[in-house]
Amino acid sequence: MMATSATKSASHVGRSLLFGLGDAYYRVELVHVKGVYPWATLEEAPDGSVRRGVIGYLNLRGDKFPVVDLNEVVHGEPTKRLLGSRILLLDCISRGKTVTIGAVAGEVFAMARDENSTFAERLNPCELLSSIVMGLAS
Amino acid sequence: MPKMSSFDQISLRKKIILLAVIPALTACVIFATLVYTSSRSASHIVRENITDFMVERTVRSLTHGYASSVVASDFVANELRLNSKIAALDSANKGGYELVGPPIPHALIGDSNHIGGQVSMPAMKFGGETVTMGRSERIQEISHDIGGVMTTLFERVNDTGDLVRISSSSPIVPLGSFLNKTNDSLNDPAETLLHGEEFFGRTLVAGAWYMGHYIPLRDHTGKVIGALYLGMPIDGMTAFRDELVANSIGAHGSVLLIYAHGPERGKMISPPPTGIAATTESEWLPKVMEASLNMQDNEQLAINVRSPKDKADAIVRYSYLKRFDWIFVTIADSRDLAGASTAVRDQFHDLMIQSIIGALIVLLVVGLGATFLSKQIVDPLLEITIQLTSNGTQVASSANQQLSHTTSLNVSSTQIATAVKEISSTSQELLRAMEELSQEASRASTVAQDGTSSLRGLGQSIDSLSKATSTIADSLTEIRTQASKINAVTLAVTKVADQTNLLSLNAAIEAERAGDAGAGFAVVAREIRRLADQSANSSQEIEQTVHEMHDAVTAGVSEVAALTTAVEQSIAVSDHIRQQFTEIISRVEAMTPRYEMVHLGMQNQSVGAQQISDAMWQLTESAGQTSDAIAELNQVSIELHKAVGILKKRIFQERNDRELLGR
Repeated sequence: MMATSATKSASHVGRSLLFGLGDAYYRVELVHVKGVYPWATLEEAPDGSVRRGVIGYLNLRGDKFPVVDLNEVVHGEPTKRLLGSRILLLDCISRGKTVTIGAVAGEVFAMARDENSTFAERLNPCELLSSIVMGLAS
Repeated sequence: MPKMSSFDQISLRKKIILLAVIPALTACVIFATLVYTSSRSASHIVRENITDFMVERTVRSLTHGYASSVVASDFVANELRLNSKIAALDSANKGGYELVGPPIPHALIGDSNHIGGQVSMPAMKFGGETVTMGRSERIQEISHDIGGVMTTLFERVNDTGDLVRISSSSPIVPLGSFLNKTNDSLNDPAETLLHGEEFFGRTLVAGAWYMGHYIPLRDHTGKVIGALYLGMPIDGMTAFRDELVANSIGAHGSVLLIYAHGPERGKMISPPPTGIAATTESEWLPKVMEASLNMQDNEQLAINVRSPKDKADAIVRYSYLKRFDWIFVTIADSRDLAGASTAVRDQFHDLMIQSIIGALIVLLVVGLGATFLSKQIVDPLLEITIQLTSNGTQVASSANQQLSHTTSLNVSSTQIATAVKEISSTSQELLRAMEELSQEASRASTVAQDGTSSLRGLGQSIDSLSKATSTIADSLTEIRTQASKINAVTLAVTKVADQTNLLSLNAAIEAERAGDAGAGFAVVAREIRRLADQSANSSQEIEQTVHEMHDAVTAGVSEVAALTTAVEQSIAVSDHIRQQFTEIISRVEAMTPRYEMVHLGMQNQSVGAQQISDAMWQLTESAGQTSDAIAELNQVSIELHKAVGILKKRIFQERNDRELLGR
């Protein structure tokens, strides 16, 4: 079963967050994005387990969220850690459950309307990470 | 700051709750008002309709009663007529009617029109039988043949047409009594019979009312010699009477029959009244009886009587049934009207209570929903505001630190510039000293005796040069140290700008999630992100400038090192001169090129010092620009702090919100 994105709300229609992966630009619809956080030091899983594709866990005020490297998924090589590197916190739905997952992105630029950001390729991270999300949802 | 209205001073949470609750409350009040108005209107309409309905019922009841009386009386009349015809024809076939024999005296019973006494009347031959005053077999047969209907035989006693009862099937009929005359000549049976016509109508016989039919009896000459009477007692028509009074109106209504005239005038024929008809009888009965004196057949009248005891009105309608001489009365009770109206009003009252309860439930649900929604909107804003406050304070603190460092850099730059100026001056002096040395050297041959003192002066100049170069080296080292500090500060500014950019992105995302309510905040977030980008750009410019300054200082250090080497060479040369003073004098001309070389080196040193001076001025200018940028950053931080303050003020108006803020 494929992971599905969260339901769109009217205010998010046509707005995306722009970010870079390698030398390419991408955009993700704002409906998927729960927040943007710096690439802080990642921690181990709360239960000490190791999951495929998860590079660590982001600790936000005690809540730990699994983090994957988008560049590794898309381009096959890990993201270079820079000052502007970010972790996008995404809400994905799989098997009826909402899974919050972090995705390491390159530099996150800004929000823009879709018609103004056609230079960036549209990316649906929940579908891209469906296999990992399904593993986390199970 | 623009003046805030009273609505603006309400917290965002209360605004959301008010915007949800006020329309719901208004709708509930309007709905309840409509229900209340509708209940009053419906109750009024129902009351009017029921009033109309009951009036119509009374009218219909009276009309129906009249129609029934007509039908009943016609039916009886037809029966009587038929029977009378049969009896008369039967009698005629059996010999007709004749007065026979000599007059026989008979005692008569007087009435209001006649004086009693005696009269001599011949016997009447009737149906083959001679009848005198008394029992007649023939009359009994006729009565038996027509079902026991009262049958009476009259004989005319004089030319005025007075008729006297001489035989009857009923023992209650007083024989020898006159047929009553009335004052109404058109309705007088005696008068009618005298003219040889039949009469049908209500008659009073022995104190009781009958529906009667009179047939004139003629002898063979055509003279009316008597009459045959057939009568049915009205009081005996119980089925008809019961049918009339059976249809009472409403639960408390009554239908009554009353004698209109005669000795029993005002007496109830029907069962006595009950309910409001009984409690108000003393009010309506006299008025009805008074009106009945002048009423025409089937004329309908109405009166209303108030019953204080029942707290209700008796709606009285009545008509005159002439054929029976009855007053037909229908009485309705206003409580029967009020009952339906009250039932409708009670229904609406229940509906209004249910509506109010429903409205309260709706209000409660809307209020809870609005409270939940406001919490969903305000709490994220609260968290963001607290974060912005914290980061704004950090930015302001960092800006102040940068300002302090920049001031220190300015002072250091000024000190370095002064030192470089001294170097330049010293270089000029050195150049002049070298020129003097050259002159002295050129004159050494001629002033050898002054050589020792000249060499001492030369040594002093070289010492000064050595100290100056040492000072330059220290200053340049200090410059490199300060440049490294600037690098650290710009790195901190860059990190702060990066953090601010991150926060503004999250603020913009939350503002987008808040929809229209976050539109204003989205503008603030965009401005903060723009300022963060400007801070990052300014930091990059500072970093670039510091790099250039670092390169220039490194070059200056190299130049100073070269200068130091030259000075050391000069010291060595001086020592060599001092050691070989004698040889110098002799070979002074040979040393002239070396002096020129020293002169050239000093010129280069002077140029290098000038370059250092220029670099330091550039550094000072850059420090000034940095100071301006930091001042602008500080101003932006203040504006950010103000914006966050406005946002906080709009979100937290209540004490508990201040507690949240403190937490």
